[in-house]
Amino acid sequence: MYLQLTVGGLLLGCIYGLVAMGLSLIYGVMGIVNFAHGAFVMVAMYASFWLNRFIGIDPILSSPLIALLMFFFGVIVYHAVIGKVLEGPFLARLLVTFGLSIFLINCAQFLWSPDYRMVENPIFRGIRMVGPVFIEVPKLMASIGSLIVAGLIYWFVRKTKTGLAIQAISLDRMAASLMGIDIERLNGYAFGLGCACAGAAGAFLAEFYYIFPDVGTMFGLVALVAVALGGFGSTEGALIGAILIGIIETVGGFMVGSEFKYALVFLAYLVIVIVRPRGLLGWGAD
Amino acid sequence: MKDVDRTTKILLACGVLAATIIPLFIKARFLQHILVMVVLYAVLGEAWNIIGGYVGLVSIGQAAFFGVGSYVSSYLFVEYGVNPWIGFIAAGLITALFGFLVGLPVTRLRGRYFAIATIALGQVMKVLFENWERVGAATGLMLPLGKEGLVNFQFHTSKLQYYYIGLVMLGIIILFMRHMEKSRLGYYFKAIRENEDVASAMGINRTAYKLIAIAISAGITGMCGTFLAQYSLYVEPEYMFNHNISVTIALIAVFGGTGNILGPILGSAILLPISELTRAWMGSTGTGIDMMIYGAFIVLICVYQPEGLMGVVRNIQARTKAQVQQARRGANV
Repeated sequence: MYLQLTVGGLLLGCIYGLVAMGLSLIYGVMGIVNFAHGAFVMVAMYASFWLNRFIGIDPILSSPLIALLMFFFGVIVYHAVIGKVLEGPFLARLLVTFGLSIFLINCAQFLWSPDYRMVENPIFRGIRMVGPVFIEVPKLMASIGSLIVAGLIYWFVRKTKTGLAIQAISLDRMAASLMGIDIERLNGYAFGLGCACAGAAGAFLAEFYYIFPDVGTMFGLVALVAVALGGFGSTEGALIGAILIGIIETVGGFMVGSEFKYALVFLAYLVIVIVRPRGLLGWGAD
Repeated sequence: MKDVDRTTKILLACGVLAATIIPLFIKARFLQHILVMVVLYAVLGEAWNIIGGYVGLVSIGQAAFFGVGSYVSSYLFVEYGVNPWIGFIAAGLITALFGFLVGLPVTRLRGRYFAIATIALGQVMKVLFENWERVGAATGLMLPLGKEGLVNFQFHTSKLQYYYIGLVMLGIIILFMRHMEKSRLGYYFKAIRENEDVASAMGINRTAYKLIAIAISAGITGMCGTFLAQYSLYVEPEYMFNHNISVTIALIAVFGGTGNILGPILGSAILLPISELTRAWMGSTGTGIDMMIYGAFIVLICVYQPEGLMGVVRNIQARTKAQVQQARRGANV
């Protein structure tokens, strides 16, 4: 039983991990805690839903396209809003994405009503027996996809020139600027990449999850907790934190009742940051 | 107060007079409702200001204290028939204690870790109350209708009485904060905000003073919870522990300007009418357009007015002062 739950939590954790990675990337580069990240996931879920409805592409197959679209969406959001508050006071930087999130969620409600929707006839469905555990195929595909995208992002940030420049900014903005890195442009790319993570995760989630305007809020909050758990500024930490949370959510939810599962996740956050005020692998400023 | 010149004093006096007299002539219930919300959120904004503005701990979970306070008085009233005013005091004390207790571990955190911890706290409290059968779980508690009057803290014919109770609360908290600003406590708070480590090295017990700030802020917020419970005569988790309450409180402070007394009042006086009016005009359609405008508004404030209204006022003051000095210098030459 617990093996079953742990596997379920692990699969969920991988998807959370992708969302959390985007959040961590954005935080690491520009110090913005993106409370609108869940809303980005929601936007991506709707995008893949409509793509499926009108063109008939399966959400998992459309995920690269969605990620690309969300990348451009993120770049636009950065230049329209985020870039303008980077120099502002702490509170403004904290609240701006709250506003963005409220705006996007209610935009979705305005455009598409608060109804629950679901992708019809997804390619991957059903449950397979793997060894002693049952595995939901769409969830498995979604978490494999998440790991692949996470790997790609990791490779991009660590190995390409642009990625290295992004890393340089997160290490020392001033020095990076002096080295001739165009901070504004690369911040935009980093924000776009973060959004692309949310986009890919949203497309994967659309395969098997209900879609409604408020759907992203919990994903965003959980991802945020995952990032804080892992420590702000640490991408690997975000992934570890997310997997931990996936497991806490499913196993803990089973033990104390599923209505308490998110309370449990937040409690876990409180306990861990009290023991380690900067998360498991965190570094840098507060 | 030497630093406040005469015109400001006269303006303030006019403001106080207007706030007391003009509402007497407002008969429309909806306008009265807006007035009540403005004073309520002004008090909430001031309570936030104590920890957020003076000590520099950004809380986005004030709804946790708000909800606890509203439940304390409502539960006492519904179960034991305790007078709401006693409940009001009890809510303040118990919420302050609650704030102190949750503050014990949380004050170690800084910056965004603290902010996220407060969000987590708000969510945890909401879930707990949604599943706590004893206090009505998700359906909450209905407060029985009593005889109208100050004694019962219930008024049915008009909302103005609530407004004046709120105004008195606001007056008391302003006096308290005026006193605090000039006291040792206020200076300690500001020292912790400016540089925690230095303050600590100077011998300020930072944990103790942070806890004091959180307890005060939580207690006042809890009393506001009782106020809203008496105003709407029911409490439910979704309503009292709503995350939007926390965001609105922080937003008022940002919009008005933090770390001074006038900021949250200004913020509330401008922001609450806007949010209530858009809700009344467009909220009933259920399309979410009112919240859309609200969200866009938050973004605009953060982008274009991040220093708050008091920042604008201060800039203008600084500019006129500079001009006056320049004129004087010119005259001397």
